[in-house]
Amino acid sequence: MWKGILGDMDREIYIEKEILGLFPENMRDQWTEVAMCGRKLQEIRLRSGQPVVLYLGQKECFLRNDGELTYEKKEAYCITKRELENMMQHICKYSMYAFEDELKQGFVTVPGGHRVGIAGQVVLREDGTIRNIKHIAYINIRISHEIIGAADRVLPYLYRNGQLLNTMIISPPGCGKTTMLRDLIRQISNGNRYGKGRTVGVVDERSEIAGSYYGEAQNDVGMRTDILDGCPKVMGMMMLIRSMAPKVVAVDELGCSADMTALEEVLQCGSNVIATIHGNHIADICSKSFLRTMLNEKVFKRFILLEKREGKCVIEGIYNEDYVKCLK
Amino acid sequence: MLKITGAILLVLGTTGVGISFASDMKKRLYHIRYLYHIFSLLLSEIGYAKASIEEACRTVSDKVQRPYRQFLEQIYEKMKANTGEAFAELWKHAMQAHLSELPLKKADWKILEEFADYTGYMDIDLQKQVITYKLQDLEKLILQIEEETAKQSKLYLTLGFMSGVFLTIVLL
Repeated sequence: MWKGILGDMDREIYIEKEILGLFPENMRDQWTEVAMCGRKLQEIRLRSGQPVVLYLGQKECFLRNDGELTYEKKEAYCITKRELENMMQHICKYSMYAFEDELKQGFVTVPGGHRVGIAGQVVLREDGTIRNIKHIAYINIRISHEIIGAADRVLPYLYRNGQLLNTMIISPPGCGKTTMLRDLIRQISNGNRYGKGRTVGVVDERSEIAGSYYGEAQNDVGMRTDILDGCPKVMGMMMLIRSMAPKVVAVDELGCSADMTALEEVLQCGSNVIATIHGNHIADICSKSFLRTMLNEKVFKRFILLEKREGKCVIEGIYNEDYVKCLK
Repeated sequence: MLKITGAILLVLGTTGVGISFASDMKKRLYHIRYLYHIFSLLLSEIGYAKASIEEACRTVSDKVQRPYRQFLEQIYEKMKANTGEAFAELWKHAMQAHLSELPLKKADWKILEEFADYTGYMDIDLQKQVITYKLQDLEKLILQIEEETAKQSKLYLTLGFMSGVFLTIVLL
């Protein structure tokens, strides 16, 4: 919640600290300059024996041995497997067993809501399910970019007579649908000029919306929001309905018919739904068989379509239940 | 009269030294038993509640006495502050800061120090096993000290008293 209270400058300092905090003490000198990039930093890619690659906005650069940034590949510093192992131990607070479930899924959420993705050798159980990942040789740190106010432009279209409309956010990967969903949740939860605050239940299967760390939201998702972190969507939606009685249920990345069945049950309980789905256009979602019934019944009253233009995430349009554009 | 008083004081003094040796052994036993209690609590927090070491230190620190409380609290505070120090270093520094005054021997100290080197396993069963081994080591040590205490405390008392008597005879 602190992010809602502190100014931009303070947030920047927090992000620097959070990024630097990912590294053990003996690596911090080398990573200070990188941490100082703060929110400009998109991703840090670490691969055993390979150059450290950083994504600053749209640009790719490398880390030098002395901690400076460079665009020259030959000057790049190659991280060792030992350093990666030490880093993982540090990130998991020397308690990797406590992060077993997260590691199995391939990522760990860290303070600030940033995500540390991992890859290495997968250890399977006898039944073929994943037991663990060992020999972690690849780490991808994705810096959380919470944008307060990302949903300001769409909010007026999502209410009718003070009532929230069931909404679906459609977007290709990397166009900001989770960012949009997060800010919608925050504004719906806190209340806004179009509707009073409502209890929002979030099923955060991959800890991407709230960026929970030890069950506590690291991103501002509003004062009336309850989060079920790391829970499968289908199970989570019903759990929330039974336990927290939310007025609105928010889920990220609908993808199969089981999700739709759970969604139907949520709607039957009288809750509203805000969901996201992968897609490039309205036509894309119309072609998805598992969505057909819901689209025919016009359950969703608003569709927000996002896209990327000249490297920037933009709102392509907001459509109503008849697929007519409300916002151009 | 003066000689008798001197002789009594000498015997009392040497007996006191014997008592002090025996009492040190009992204190050591008490602390080893207490460490066993701490590791049992850590096993419960880590093994069954799957708490991280940081959380486990915080929870267990609330349930134990000084100086162990301060010892665990220091580890928790440093981990929470994310100083970047490795856990093994944090553990050893906290040992130096809070447990160095305890009547522990090198072997006891080693058991305690080694714990930090064997944490952070990915597999919970393995982590539980490490703590269980520590408990077994401590259990053996407790039995050993108990036997030693039973035998040696009497010996220390007798030796203390006898050496006093012996010195009195020699000096008289």
